Amino acid sequence: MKKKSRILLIVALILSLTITACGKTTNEGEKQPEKQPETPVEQKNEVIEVSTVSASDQYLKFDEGESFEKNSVYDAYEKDIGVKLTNKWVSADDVQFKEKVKMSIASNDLPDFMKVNATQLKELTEADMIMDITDVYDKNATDETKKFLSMDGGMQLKTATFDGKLMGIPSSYNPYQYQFLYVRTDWLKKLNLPEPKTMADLLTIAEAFKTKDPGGTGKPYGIVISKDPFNNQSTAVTGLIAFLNSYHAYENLWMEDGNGNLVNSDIQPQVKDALKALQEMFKKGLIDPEFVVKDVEKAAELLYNNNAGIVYGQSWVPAQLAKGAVKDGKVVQEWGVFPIPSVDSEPALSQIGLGVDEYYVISKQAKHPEGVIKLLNHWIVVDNHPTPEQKVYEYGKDLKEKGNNYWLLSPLRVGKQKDNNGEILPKAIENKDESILETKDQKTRYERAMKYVDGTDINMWWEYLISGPKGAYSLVPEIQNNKQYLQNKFYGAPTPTMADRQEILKKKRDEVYFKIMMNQVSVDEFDKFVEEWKKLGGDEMTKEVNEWYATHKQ
Amino acid sequence: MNVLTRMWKREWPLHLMLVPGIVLVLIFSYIPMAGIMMAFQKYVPNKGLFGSPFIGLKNLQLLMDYPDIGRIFFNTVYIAVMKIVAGMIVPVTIAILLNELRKEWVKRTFQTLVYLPHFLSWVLLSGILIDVLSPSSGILNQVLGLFGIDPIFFLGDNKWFPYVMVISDVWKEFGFGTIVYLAALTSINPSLYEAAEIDGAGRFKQTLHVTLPGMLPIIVLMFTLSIGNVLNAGFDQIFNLYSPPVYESADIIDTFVYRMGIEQAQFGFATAVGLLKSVISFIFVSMSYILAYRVANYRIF
Amino acid sequence: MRTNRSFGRKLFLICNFIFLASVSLLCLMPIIHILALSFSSGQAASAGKVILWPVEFTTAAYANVFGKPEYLRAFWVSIQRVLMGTTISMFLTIITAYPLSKDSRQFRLRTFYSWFFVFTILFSGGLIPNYLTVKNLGMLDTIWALVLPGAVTVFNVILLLNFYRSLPKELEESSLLDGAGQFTTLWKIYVPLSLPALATTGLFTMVGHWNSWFDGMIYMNHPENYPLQTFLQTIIIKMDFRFIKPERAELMIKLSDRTSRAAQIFVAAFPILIVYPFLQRFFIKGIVMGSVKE
Repeated sequence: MKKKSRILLIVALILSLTITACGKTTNEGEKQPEKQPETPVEQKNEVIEVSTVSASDQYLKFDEGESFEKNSVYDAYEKDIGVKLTNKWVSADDVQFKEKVKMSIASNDLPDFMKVNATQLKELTEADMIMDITDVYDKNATDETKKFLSMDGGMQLKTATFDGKLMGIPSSYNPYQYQFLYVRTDWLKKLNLPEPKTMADLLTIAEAFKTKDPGGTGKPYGIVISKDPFNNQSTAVTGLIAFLNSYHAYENLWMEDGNGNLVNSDIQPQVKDALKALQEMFKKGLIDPEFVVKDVEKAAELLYNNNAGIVYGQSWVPAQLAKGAVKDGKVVQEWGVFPIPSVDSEPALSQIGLGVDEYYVISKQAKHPEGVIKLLNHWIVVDNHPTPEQKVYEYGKDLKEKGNNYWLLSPLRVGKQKDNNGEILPKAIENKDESILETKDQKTRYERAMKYVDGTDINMWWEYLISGPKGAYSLVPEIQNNKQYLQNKFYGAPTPTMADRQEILKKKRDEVYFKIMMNQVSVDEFDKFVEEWKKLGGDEMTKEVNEWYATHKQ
Repeated sequence: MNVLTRMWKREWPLHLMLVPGIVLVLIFSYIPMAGIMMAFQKYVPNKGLFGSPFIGLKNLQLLMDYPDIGRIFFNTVYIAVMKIVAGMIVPVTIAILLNELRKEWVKRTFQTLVYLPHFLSWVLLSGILIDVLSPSSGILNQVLGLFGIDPIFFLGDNKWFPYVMVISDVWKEFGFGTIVYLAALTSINPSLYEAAEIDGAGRFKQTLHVTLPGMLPIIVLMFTLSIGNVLNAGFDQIFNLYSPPVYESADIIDTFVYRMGIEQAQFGFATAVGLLKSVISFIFVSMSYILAYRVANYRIF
Repeated sequence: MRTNRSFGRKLFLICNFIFLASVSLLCLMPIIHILALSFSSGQAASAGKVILWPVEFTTAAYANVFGKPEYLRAFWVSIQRVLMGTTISMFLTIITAYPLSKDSRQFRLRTFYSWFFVFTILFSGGLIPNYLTVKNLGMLDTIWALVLPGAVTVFNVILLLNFYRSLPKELEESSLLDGAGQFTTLWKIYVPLSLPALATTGLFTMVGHWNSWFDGMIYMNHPENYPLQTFLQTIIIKMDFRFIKPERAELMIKLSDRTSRAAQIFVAAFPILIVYPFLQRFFIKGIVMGSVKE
């Protein structure tokens, strides 16, 4: 008996150890062998291998037999510019992509190039893990590329430059995305109110909506906000940053004080005015007290259900409003879009970002950095003026629209820093004139809007509100031409005090903003907050920002 | 054969049995534990663990210098302790009550049902909780209204928030403990109950003198293990439900570390906080273990 | 026995039943709500109209979940992981708990070993060192990365060793006296008697493996290797308008964040909910019925 059980255990032990060892060896065999790098030659005939990492996407639908290992887009890159793409890993989606990037950095396992955020860009530069690409870019980027990436005057490239060295390619997009005011125009008509041109107008409208309850729900409110209304990332709709802008106040913006120095917008007196107005609105019941626990979707319910008819948001908000505005093929709510009103005779300036918060960086170990620049050049070409064959980059090998979103496969994508949608689209749609459409985006939008106009698809109501004659885009040219926007004057990586103290400064700020808004403390608490802010590191931070500014003034 | 050889003859199979477990734990827990060094370093990925500069207690200093440190520590411990205590009393009680049910299938059904909330994530549950607790349309406030009580904004009020966290968390997780305690209950020797009944004890007395003592080892065990969580107030839950008006009572260590992580990628800092938590857990678990041993001669593990 | 029940006892039984039924109902309601959400249209869900019954019934959320071919592959990875992981874990739990259940006189060093294991649940090196270890062992992108690192669940070991301790010492004595070794004693006697504990720990292990998604994300590099939950974490409808085609926009209206998540939870929880009642059987078994003469 003893012998049997002994043998049993020994077998079990051996098994468990073998299993561990097995796992190791079979995997060694499966690991892809490192390809020997070709000698870098400028000729297109030589194929150079470049590794990266990608994010899978639920909208990306592979053609039959294709995958991240082999697909028509990667083949096209190899054929057209001699760059063979491989992926070190592919994440399940964009959010997980960011987590895995963090792991790759932390474990010092970088592919040849990958997309990182601004903080990581700084971290990698300091740790000397990525390449200085000033020369590589200069030598290999085409003139078109260089022009394309400096449409905004070179600001975005500047944010990627440290000590005069270009450390990454900005994954740029259009920074001129403004906030607008959306109001129920059918209610305005019902209550005989004028369209909002000033802040006073808006407040009157909000009050009327509350007291007269045009939605007939018995639970009316004025304006809809969600739980994080001052956070830049999440206030594409139901935010309050635009409200602040109406009062010439801004959220965490470094602005000129008139004497050549930068100050932070969070502690400026204009904020106090805006907060006071919000407090008044809250006292009158114009703001749902439960907004603090509602995320955007939940807060938006008030809009869908006719409880409220005012909300701030970006140009694509109508697509969200559509959930409540269009029912069973019929438009049941009428919305209008207006520029942000101002509290006085000075026009309100829309607070905008820089148009870039991610960068493509090249690892110091990369053997063919010029391959990355080639990808950049090629993308700009095929995205903006593709030949018929080059449509493969957008549609895959069938070269026509199938809804598979193959453009997601291109690992290095940059967007246009400026667009003229506002000049072209409203006119085209009003006059039903296709000929003036220039870009692919405009053509797509035109098509959608026309489906609404000629009645084939009423659900496209939202595109009409964005691109049509009275849509959000139509308001853009005036804002743009009159420069009614304000950008952050500080665009460097976080300073030391900023890194340590930004969190508590934001926390204290949010606490006091909310308490004032919800009428839990008097508006004079703001002054106490300003003092605290300065002491908790705000002054130190301001000093550091100005040191930076002194060397970066344009 | 002398005593030692006899002992060895008897013991060696036991040592052998432990080998696989020890090997795995060495590889996957002890070797990575070297990473604790990061708590004292300014970790640079390409320099690795052994090349990154040593900065001593600076990471911990960042935590200690935090102006709200007292507040977040208090909140963390307050909420965590309540969760530990309630998280024991409730499952034990429910397990005992379930055991009293006469019909097996009823017992089994209820047992299955109470484990269900465990499968829901806080992301989804928070949506439900917000609805239920809403001062304007939530069921709870409507019920309170029947008793003439004014609506309370539970999730927006510092007085109520911690308790909402504890109660909802206990509701979500008590099913787990109930399973453990029920399993413990069923392994109590039935003859003990018979003996007690013969002695004239009613059901309630039996519960006091047979059931509870029979469950005591497991109760003490669960308590010791959960006491290690004294600094884990429940990030997932609080993160999904808190907001600036309740920062005062809701902000815990983990939410603070999370917000810091947004502003900067600081590996050392997160590790330092983790280390602090581990040390405190270790102290509490040890104290509990030693107490059980000294007082009841019971080794929890 | 029935006739001996006092009035007080009867009252208690009724109240107890009502109380427990209410508690169970309270636990069930949110599940029903989420089930209803998963079958409702995005519009109805967004409008907050769904309570306990689907509004504007649609299977769009489920179609979205099942519509991806990766789904089946991920499902299989999870099944593999649950089966392998639970087997290995349970085996390790049993052979680790048994020696630790002996007391110091029979097995010196047992306390040392105990603390050796417990220490690992109190202290951890953190995510990065764990990742590096798995990587250096060449286990990335393999099922072993999901199954081995957590194979020794110390909590389960402690539970089981306590159960073993509660069994009478005479069992071991008589077994050894009969000439059986420790191994035989363990497998032939202790294991069968600890079925409730094994069922409990087995269930927790299975649930743990089935639900875990974070390690799948970190240790796997290609979509074919992701377990189900890692894959399901992704099904969030992002309102990203760079690629809203008319067909897609319709889908947007039908779906919403909430209905997708609801369907996701159901698909994820369903298998476990099926298995759970079967394991229930073992919890109720009584044990040690005078098998050893005092």
